[in-house]
Amino acid sequence: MIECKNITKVYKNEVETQALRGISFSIDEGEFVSIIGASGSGKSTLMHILGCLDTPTSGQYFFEGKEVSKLSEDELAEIRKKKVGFVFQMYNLLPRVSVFRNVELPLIYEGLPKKEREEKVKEALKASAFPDEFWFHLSNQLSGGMQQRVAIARALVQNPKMILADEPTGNLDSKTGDIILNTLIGLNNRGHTLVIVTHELYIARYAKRIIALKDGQVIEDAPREMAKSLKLIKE
Amino acid sequence: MKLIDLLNEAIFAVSANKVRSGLTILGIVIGIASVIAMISVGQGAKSQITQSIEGLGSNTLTVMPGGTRIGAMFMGRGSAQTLKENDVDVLKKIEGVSDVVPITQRTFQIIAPNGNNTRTTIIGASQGVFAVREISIESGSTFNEEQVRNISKVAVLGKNIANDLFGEENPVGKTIRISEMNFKVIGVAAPKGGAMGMVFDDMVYVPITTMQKILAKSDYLTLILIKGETKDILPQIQQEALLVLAEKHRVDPQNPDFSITSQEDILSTLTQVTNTMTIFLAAIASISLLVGGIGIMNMMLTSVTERTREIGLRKAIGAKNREILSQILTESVLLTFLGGVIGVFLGWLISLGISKFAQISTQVSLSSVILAFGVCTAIGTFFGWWPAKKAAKLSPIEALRYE
Repeated sequence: MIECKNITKVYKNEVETQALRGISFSIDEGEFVSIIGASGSGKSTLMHILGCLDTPTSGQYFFEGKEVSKLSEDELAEIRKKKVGFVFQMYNLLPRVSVFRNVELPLIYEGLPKKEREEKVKEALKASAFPDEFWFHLSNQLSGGMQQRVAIARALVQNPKMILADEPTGNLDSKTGDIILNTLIGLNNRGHTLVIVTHELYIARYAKRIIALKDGQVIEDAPREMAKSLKLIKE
Repeated sequence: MKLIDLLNEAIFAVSANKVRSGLTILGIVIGIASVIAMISVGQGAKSQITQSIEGLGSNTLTVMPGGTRIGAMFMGRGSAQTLKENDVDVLKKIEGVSDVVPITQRTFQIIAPNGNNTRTTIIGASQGVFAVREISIESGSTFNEEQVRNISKVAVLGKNIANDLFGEENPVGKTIRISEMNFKVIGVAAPKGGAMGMVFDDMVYVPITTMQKILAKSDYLTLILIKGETKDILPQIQQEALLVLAEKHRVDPQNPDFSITSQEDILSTLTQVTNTMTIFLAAIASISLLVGGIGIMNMMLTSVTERTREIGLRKAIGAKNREILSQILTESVLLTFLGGVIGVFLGWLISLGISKFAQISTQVSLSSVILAFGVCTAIGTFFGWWPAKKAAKLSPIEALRYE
C-alpha cells in the first residue's frame, strides 16, 4: 500500500539538520505497524511524510503505487482528504465547535451535500464508540478521552485506507489510553491500515509489526514477536 | 468546498468573536455612512438645480442681447440693445419652433388701491409666455392675443405680489397703478417658486405692447424665448437661430451681438460644479473608509495568527490552499459587507437628518448604494488578501506545532 525508498529529509534553518537518513520499507494494506523511537529519532518527520503533510528531500514515496513525493500541494491535500485519517496527540479539534461539526469538517471540504454528510458523521461517531448524548456538545467541554474519540471519528469519516496516529494516548491516563488504543485496534480489524507513531513501548506491543528508528535510520523492522526493541519491556 | 458551506464557516468564524468583529465593522459602517451621506448631499444639490432649470420651461432656448462696453468696462451680457420685435418673426420661421416669446422687462413701483405698494420686475411679454414658462393661473385668466394687439392695460400678478398688495383679498378685477397708470388685474399666477435667481412669484406680467409703448417707451427686447416642439430638435434650432439672427443683424455668426443659451448649457455647467462637489465630498468621506479597511486587515491578521493551529488542522484533513484563502477572504468580505449594509442604512438616516434639520436637500440614489456595496466588497477583498494569503501559505506541520 505504501512504500518508502531511501527517503531523506533535511531541514534547512540556521543549522542544517538531517532528520531522516535513507529510510526504506513498505506497509501492506490492513497492517498494524508501530513506528517507535526516542524523541529526535525522526519518527515525527517520517509520519508527516507518510501522511502526505510533507515531501521528502530525496528518495521516493509511493502511496497506492503512485509516487507522491513530487506531487503539488493541492494533490497532497487531496490524498490527505480522502486516503489518510490523522489522529494527533493534542486531538486538534476546533474549539467552541460541536462534536458533530468537527467530524463533519473533512466532508465539508469534500463538498458533499448535507444529508450525505450527516449519514457519514453518524456512522463515524458510532464506529469510534462515541456516546450519542454528547454529539452536539462543544468539543472543548469534553474530557481528553472523549475528545480523542471525536478525533478518531473525524479521521474515520472519509473511510480512509490508512489511519495515522501520532502519540494518540500521550495526553491520556493509561486506562483511557487503553480504551482509545482498543478503538484503534478495532478499526484495524475492520481493514484499515493502522500506523501508530509512539515513544511508549507498551503501546507498541499491541502492534503486529514494529519499525524502530534511531537517528533518522531504521534500526529494526520486524514482526512484534521477534522485535528486539520490545524486549526491553517486561511482558 | 461548496459556497454555502464557505459562507457558513465564515459566519461561524466572524460570530465567534462578536465584540471584535463588531468594532471592526464599525470602521466600515462609519466610512460607508459618510460616503452615502456626502453623496446624497451632492446628488440633492444636483437634482435641485436640475429642477429649477427645468422650472424655466422645458424645451426652451433663451436669446439675449450681447454685452456693451463703456471704455474698458464690460457691462455684462444682455446690456446691449440689439434685439427687436422683428427678430421674433425671423425666429418663428425656423422649422420645429412652436412659439417665440419676446420679453421686455423693467422694474417699477406698483401701488394698490388700498395704499400697499411694492417695487418689482414687470415682464412685458406676448401671450405665449405663460405656456412657455409653464406658469399656471390660480384665479382669473391670462391676457390674450387681442389684448396684446390692443395695447391693453391689464396685468397678471405673481402670487407674492398679489399677497403683498392685496393680502387675503382676491385681486382679480381690481386696479393697480404702475408708473402712474392704471392697470386692471385680470389674473393671479399659481405659486411656482424661483429658478436661476428669478423669483417667478415676484413678477407682474403685462402685454409686450403695453410695456414697450406705455411703460418702457422702448422697442428693444430684454430677451426672446424660443420654444421647440421637441427636446431633440433644440440643438438644431439653436444653430439655425444663430445663423438667421446673425444674418439679420449683419454680424459674423462666430462673433454675434447676441447669445443663445439652452437649458442644457446652463445645466451642464452647473452639473459640472455639483459633480465636482460630490466627488470632493465623497473623497473626504472615503478616507474614513480606507481607515476602516485597514482595521479589517488588522483584525484578519490577528485572527489568522490566532487560528494558526486551526488552519494547520484544516490543511491536514485536506483543505487546499485556495480553500483556506477563500475562507479568510469570505470572512473579510462578510465583515465589510455587513458594515456596508449597516453603513448604507445609517447614511440614509444621516441624509434624512441633514435635509430635515439643515434644510439642505439630499437624495440617496440607488447608484450610490450599489457603489457602496461594490466598494465594500472591493475593500474586503483588498484588505483581506494579505491575511488570507498568509493563512493559505501556512505549512500544515508548522501550523500544527504552533503554540
